[in-house]
Amino acid sequence: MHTPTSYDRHQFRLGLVKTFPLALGAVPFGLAYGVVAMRTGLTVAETVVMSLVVFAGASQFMAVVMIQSGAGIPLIVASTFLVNLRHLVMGLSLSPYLSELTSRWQRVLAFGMTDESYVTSVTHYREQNEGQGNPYFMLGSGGSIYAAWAVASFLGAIAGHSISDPFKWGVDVAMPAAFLTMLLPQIVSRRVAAVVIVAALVATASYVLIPGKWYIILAVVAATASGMVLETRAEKVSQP
Amino acid sequence: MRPYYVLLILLMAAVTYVSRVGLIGVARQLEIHPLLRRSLEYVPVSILAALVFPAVFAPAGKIEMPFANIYVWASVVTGGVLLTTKRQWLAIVAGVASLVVLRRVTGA
Repeated sequence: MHTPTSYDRHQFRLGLVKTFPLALGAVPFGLAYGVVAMRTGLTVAETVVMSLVVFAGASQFMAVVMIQSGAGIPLIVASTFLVNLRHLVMGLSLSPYLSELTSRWQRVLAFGMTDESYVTSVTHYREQNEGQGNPYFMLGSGGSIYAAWAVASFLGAIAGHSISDPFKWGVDVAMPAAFLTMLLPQIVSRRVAAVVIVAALVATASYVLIPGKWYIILAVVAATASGMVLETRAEKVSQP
Repeated sequence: MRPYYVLLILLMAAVTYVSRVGLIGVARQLEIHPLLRRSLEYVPVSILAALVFPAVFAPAGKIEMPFANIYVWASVVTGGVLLTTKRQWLAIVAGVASLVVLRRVTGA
């Protein structure tokens, strides 16, 4: 990691700012996690350290609920692994933009890769269209979510009982709204629109039917396959 | 910090990190097949769609009637403001504000 240039610092700030609506959207989830963890019997330290070290909202929620129902470590860890499998797809999708970075950079950025920082960074790198992505952008993006998650977990843990339902404020729509504003500008062709429709249908159906985060993986596989089929068809038509 | 929870946290952290770091460096080590590389183009929009649609159409884990679902209307407002003004921030704020208003009005 070289000394950051002013361009790097600009990219870092841009990462922070662009991820801010999503960080804001993560706050009610962090508060709720803190409340549930304390009710489960975790201490404030255990609640916050889990956020700082694991840094994975869905897994942490699942873990505290499982602790409450009496599950042991092996089952919780195995479930955590399954919930997090989607990160493999995200890492693969980001890897072409990070291929010229040192492995040290890659290891640092990987720690901060969440649903939110992944979509923000990959969208930014695609828009930039420079092939390689500036690591400081993703550092800022991941840092933004990390700070929000840690602070919200802490507040949920210490002030849990006095917080009225955090989902009542309307911030719970901030997350899907921010994702939507990133999605819409990317629908530039009929083919991408078709891919989005397939992803939307498969994701919604499997979200309702299958527990866990499998809906994301299933949607990616189905939608990507449809995209490739449409692409191959278009090529065949255009060839004489 | 009780040792039991220290162990739980460390193991959860380990499997989570493995999933994050597992493939992030893959393009540095080996050539990605052109077909796979092209298909990766569709991954971000697919994941975005998967993060938006279930949260909007099935906010409580089951599908709700679209016309009675305030999340659908808040998303329509968000999309409408984005397409007319091209300003991301304004669109998100409008979406959140419309949800607050809709919640007041409908009592949901």
